Amino acid sequence: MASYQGVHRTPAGTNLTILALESSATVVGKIHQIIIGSDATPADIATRFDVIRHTAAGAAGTAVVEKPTDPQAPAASCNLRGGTMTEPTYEADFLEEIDLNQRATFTWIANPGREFRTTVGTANGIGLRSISSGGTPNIGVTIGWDE
Amino acid sequence: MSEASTARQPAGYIIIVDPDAPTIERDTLQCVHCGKHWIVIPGSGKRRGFCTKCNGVHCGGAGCWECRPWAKVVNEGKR
Repeated sequence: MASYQGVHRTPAGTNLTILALESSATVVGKIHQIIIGSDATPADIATRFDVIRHTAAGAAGTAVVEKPTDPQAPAASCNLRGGTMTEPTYEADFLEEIDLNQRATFTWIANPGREFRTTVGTANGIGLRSISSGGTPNIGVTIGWDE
Repeated sequence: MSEASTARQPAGYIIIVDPDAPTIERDTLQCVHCGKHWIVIPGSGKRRGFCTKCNGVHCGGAGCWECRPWAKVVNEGKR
């Protein structure tokens, strides 16, 4: 098992995916860390983020290259897609909801064995999405996962 | 720092750093049926549950009152 990190920045908005981790045909990703912050000029802008599973992957967007925690690790099997993109098809229910002031930095870390696991298959994955926002601040997201 | 420990067997934890407010640290629990994590807020009034088959807490979501172990569901790729 190897561990990887992926980072992407894109403006918040309404139903806009910041970063999505897509499974491969045979390998699932286990997300163990999410960090959300903003490099925009400090302002009091509230944004709601959801972590949600998707059942149809997004299109276009930015291909984000992962960084293995161990430099000797092989390339990741899962795929990272950064926004702005043609939105994936998400499930109705979310895995985690985060309401955050733009000034704040949010970190979530799962205990071993309690990660968010994607479902196998290239259409499946987990995205971090801004559901609503009082503005369009640039949002930076880091996702750490094992596979 | 506040509320550093809010669950006996947490599944994760969060840290919120805000320059204008005290740092917040909270534990999270994970639903045994859908995999969702939530922040433990004692006395929040939200209805959660406990599955005796899975021997763990569930989130109280509409689809989570019936036993459907999330690890099994995800492993089988049926979500």
